[in-house]
Amino acid sequence: MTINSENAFNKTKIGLFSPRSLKIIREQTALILLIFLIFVGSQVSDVFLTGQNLLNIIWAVSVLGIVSLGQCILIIACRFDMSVAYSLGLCGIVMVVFQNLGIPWTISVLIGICTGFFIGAINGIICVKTGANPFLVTLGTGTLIYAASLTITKSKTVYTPFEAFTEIGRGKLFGVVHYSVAIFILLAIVLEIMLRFTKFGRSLYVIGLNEKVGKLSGFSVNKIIFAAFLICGFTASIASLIVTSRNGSTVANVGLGLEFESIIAVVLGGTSLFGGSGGALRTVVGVLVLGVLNNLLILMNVQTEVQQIVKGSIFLLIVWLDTSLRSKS
Amino acid sequence: MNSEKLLEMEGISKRFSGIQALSNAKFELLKGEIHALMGANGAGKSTLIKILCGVHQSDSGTFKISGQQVLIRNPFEAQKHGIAYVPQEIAVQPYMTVAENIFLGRHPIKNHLIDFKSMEDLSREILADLGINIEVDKLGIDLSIAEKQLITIAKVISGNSKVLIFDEATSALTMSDTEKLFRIIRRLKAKGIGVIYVTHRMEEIFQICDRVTVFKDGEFVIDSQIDDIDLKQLIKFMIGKDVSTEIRTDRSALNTEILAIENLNVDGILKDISLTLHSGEILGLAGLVGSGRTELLRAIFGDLKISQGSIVVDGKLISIGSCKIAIDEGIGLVPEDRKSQGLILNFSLRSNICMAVLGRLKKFGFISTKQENSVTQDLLNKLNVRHNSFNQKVNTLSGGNQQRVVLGKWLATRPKILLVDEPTRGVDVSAKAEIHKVLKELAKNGMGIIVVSSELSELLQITERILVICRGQLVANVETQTTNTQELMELSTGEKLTHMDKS
Repeated sequence: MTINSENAFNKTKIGLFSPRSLKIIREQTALILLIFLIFVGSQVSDVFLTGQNLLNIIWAVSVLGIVSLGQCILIIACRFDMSVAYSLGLCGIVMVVFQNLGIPWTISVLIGICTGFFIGAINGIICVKTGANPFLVTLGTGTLIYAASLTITKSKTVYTPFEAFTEIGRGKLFGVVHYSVAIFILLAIVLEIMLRFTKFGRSLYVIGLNEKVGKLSGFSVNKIIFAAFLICGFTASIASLIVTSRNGSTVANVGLGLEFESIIAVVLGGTSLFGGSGGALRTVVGVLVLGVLNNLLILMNVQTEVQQIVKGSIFLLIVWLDTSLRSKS
Repeated sequence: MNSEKLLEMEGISKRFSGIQALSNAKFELLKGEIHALMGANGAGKSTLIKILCGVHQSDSGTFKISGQQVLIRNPFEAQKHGIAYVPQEIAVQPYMTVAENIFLGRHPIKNHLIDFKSMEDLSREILADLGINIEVDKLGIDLSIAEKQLITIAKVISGNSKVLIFDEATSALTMSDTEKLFRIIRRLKAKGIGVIYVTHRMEEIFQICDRVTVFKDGEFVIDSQIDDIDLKQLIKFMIGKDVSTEIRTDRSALNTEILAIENLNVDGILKDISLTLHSGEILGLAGLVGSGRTELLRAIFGDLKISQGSIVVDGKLISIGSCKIAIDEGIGLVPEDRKSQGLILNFSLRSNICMAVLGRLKKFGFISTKQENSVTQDLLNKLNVRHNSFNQKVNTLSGGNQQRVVLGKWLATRPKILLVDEPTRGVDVSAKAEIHKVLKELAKNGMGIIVVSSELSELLQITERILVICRGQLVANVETQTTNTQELMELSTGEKLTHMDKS
């Protein structure tokens, strides 16, 4: 009996679907897909693998990426923020409006970031105090934020008067890497370290998996959830800063669809929608999969309609693979 | 009396991942009989009932209904054989009418639509038949608990019901409601239906049952007519006889008072609880499930809001508003359910053990793996947990080892007061003995420990003093040396009036 099962184990060990490789496939689905997409890219296009194109890909997804990082922190704690798309609008609008009032752009950026924190705080307070479903709460606050943006701008596009302000979104660090890419990568690394090595990070996972255990272990669950919303508000304001300065202008619905796209990126990266797993670097991988896919489809001149079909299918494929591989373990 | 056998179960065994829930058990039910199924927690009552209802399948044994051997593979087949189950939790949909509730999932259909008229007519018929007087168009939310209970009965019973199972049916009912329920049960009995009655309330058995079967540790103990047995004997059968062989610790010199609770109240759950705990003392807390014993521990630990009363730890009056404060004050709680309250199952041993002390293991704001490892090493050695590595996930450990890990998690906080809820539930005998040893040792080193356990023999073995809680109130404070399982059982069921002053 034991000999038989040992033989069986040795046999499967070599195969593609041995327990060990199955584990790797399961845990790194997105990374494998990313490598595969990059390989496909290198085969279908000469320009794909150039350093410039790869940097462009990251540049193109940096706004989504930064929003997704904040979203990822919340999803690990089994919460969501559906208001990020509208925060992206409001924070930038606040910056530009203050600039037009004659305030230096550096101060206006700080005010914009404070707006992000404020939105996070409101979301956090409502969720913690009422215990209501964060998904619904943030859908509600998102609508209010949108209303505020529309009121302030009278539903028009607002333009920055400062050329220097646009440098943040358009300029490059040492003339090589866009500031936005640098900020995205830096944030990802900081958040990954926070998630892995601090008490706060650990407590997010515990709360995501089992709030009761967290509470009984002496974690201040409410404070932690509140802080997670603050972080998500902060990342949304940073993303807003980048998108606004890149465009030199902004509009209330500039972030349209980002709330869902960020969740897709997070889940694609391998963070469970039910909380308690995943991480910031995984989210980066998820974001990159979306970015590379987008880039490839454009390089291959695929029609916009077909692009959507491919994206939707790939997402469903990942979800299916993830679920079926999980149940096999 | 009609002596036709409705049910015959013999040699029934059932094993769940390593635990023998039932071994060679037997049970018999006659037509028109009310048969009590008794046993302490974990005796195998609910397993037998689940087998009867088709939720589980027995590993071996024969099962006859009205003399015919049957195989029940799922709840639907059990229903077809006329077995109806009245659950402990009352499941009445609040925004459906009484008639809709009764016919939930089997609405009469006419022209592809629900036939409301015949549904209401049939409901009226069923209720009248049971002697229940409730309007069929009332909404579930407007019913009292007792009425909901009756509707639940009406729901599960149908024309072909032969066997009706009541599982703790009266646990939520008042005395007069219980009387109402009994009238209906007697009515069913008169119709020839066999009733299986499971309850913790001992007095009810003598009021309503004809016969009693006792299980202990998954085994059949006795089957007797109710008139041939008295309460004391029954409790003895449920608990086992070896009361005299129980070993107790000597009451060592008890030092300072480290916990004093005065008139603690939790709205609707606990009333005027006062107790003291000394360093070096193991205090037992006995009571039935739902008596408030777990809630008392949770209230001390800041997990339940205290509406009134004071808690003094080490001579200092403190207000425990959260578990964090309790931990900071040197209180630890090993919760009742290690899987849902104590551990994160797919976290590593190390992460679980260090979970409550992460604040202490920080270096420059980051968790120090080195310190984590040393804490883990220390406790795993102390508690003798068999493991491969610190990174091993706790869900790969046995129940006994998991329980030791939860204990370790709390010892890591270096508590002065340790609250332990069901320290050995579902662990094997050797792990149990070792956990007992650890608790005694901790007390010897000056820790004050409160232990809640459903197993009275466990309390008798490790404690020095036992408090008994019944319906949210402390009803007795007895020296372990001077009491026994029978007395404790009688006290916790409210059978025996107490000598405790109501101060």
